[in-house]
Amino acid sequence: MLSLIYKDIILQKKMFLFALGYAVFLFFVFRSPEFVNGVYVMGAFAIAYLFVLTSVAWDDKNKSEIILNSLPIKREDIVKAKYLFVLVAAALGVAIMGGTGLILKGFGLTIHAGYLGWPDALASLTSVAFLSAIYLPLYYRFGSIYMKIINVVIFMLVFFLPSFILGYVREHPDQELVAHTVRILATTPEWLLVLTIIALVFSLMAGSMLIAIRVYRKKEL
Amino acid sequence: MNNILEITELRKTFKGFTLEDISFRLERGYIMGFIGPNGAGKSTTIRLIMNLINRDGGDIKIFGLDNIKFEREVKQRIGFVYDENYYYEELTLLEIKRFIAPFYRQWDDRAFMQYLHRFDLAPKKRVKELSKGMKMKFSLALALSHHPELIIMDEPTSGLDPVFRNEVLEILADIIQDETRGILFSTHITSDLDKIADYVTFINQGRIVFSEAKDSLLDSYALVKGGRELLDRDTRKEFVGIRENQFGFEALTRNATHTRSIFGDRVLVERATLEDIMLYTVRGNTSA
Repeated sequence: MLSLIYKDIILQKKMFLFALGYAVFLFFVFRSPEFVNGVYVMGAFAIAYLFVLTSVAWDDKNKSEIILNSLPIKREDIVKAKYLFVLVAAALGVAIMGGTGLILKGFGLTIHAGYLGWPDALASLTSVAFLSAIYLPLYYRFGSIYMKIINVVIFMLVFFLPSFILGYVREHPDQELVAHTVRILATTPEWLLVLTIIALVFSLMAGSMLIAIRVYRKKEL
Repeated sequence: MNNILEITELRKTFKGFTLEDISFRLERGYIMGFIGPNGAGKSTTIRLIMNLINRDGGDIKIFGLDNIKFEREVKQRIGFVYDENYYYEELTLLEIKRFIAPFYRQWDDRAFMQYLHRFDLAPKKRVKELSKGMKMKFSLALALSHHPELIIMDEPTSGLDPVFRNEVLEILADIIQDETRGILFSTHITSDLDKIADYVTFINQGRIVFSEAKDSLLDSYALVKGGRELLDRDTRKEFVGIRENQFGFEALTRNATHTRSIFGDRVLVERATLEDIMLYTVRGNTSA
């Protein structure tokens, strides 16, 4: 299984250079004080998700899954390795953004951004895990060509669903479910909320992996 | 039991195509040519053997073990070469080796480097920089470097020039000297098999036409040439396929001895090639 993760990492050679350039670009574009807090999370998330998308695109491009499935390995291990790679990609995204921030600050090139902290790393990891949990089972079912369309839908959901929910909450503050949820959120300590979200996302990831394994076992190559 | 591969009543249905209960077996120490026209079911059979697609019925035993139940164990001992390059084009040969090698208990780095040297392949080249023939040789180097007992090749020589093809055939002939191994070699270039195959399995429209030792096959089948006046309803039954023109007929018989006894000196009986056998069987009767 480690060998499959190694393969996914070395397939990112060109993406590493792109990711470094992208990181510098982000620090430059979001240099004003109101954005600096989100730049680490946004950058690490985007880079990590790009790594995940690139890795599945390579598997699909030359029908390389035929090679993977001809090796002495179980199909479920191929899927498990991909989910592990999501975590590796998140770690790489965080390292690239953190490292770039450190270097830029060292040279005095970013004025407002602080150093990357644990909350940034956790937020990036959780968001990549969340999106991959939706993406991967669909990829194993449909292949990466159809995923271009599905990706647009996923992105729309990620960008518009939160604002839709917030808008609904603002317009219907007295609705019972909304009021109840707001009350719980207001009274629960922040650390507990964060922990709950992380636990939910990783449960989603585990569930997603089980579905992906089921789908992939039946897949004809 | 010395069967390295045993297929029994294997069945797979796609939309518009059915592999119909095919059965054949390959013993250790032999090369089996798996022939048939495009779309006959060769690749489907190989994909079923490699468990890349799900079978609808039947059994596949490799080294006496079910290919699904003992998939990992069985694949440890199989070397595979496909008709196209499915390796990651962006990676170098060495990177692919580093990724593939850990999967095999018997991986032999020295053998791999020797094959690269023999095939004139530069380890630091990317797969996409290789020609079609070189990609095939690279696949072969990877397939052989863990000393597999069964080598499965799906049209490895298609699209290669005769020099490359000959080189591949020589390598296979070398490998089979060690009588513990077996090779299943699918192709529609039947002249390749004239050189190296011990057994030939012929598949057409999802059915096995025959699976026999090549020599006995070439002894029993024959090309028959004669005048058209010799053909009537009864004598036509003697042939697998007949080609007729204004000068006479040329036909393929499955039983040369019997045909000789019927026609005597009135016909010319010649040794058939595998290509003749395939062509006449697929095309049946034609007239010009």
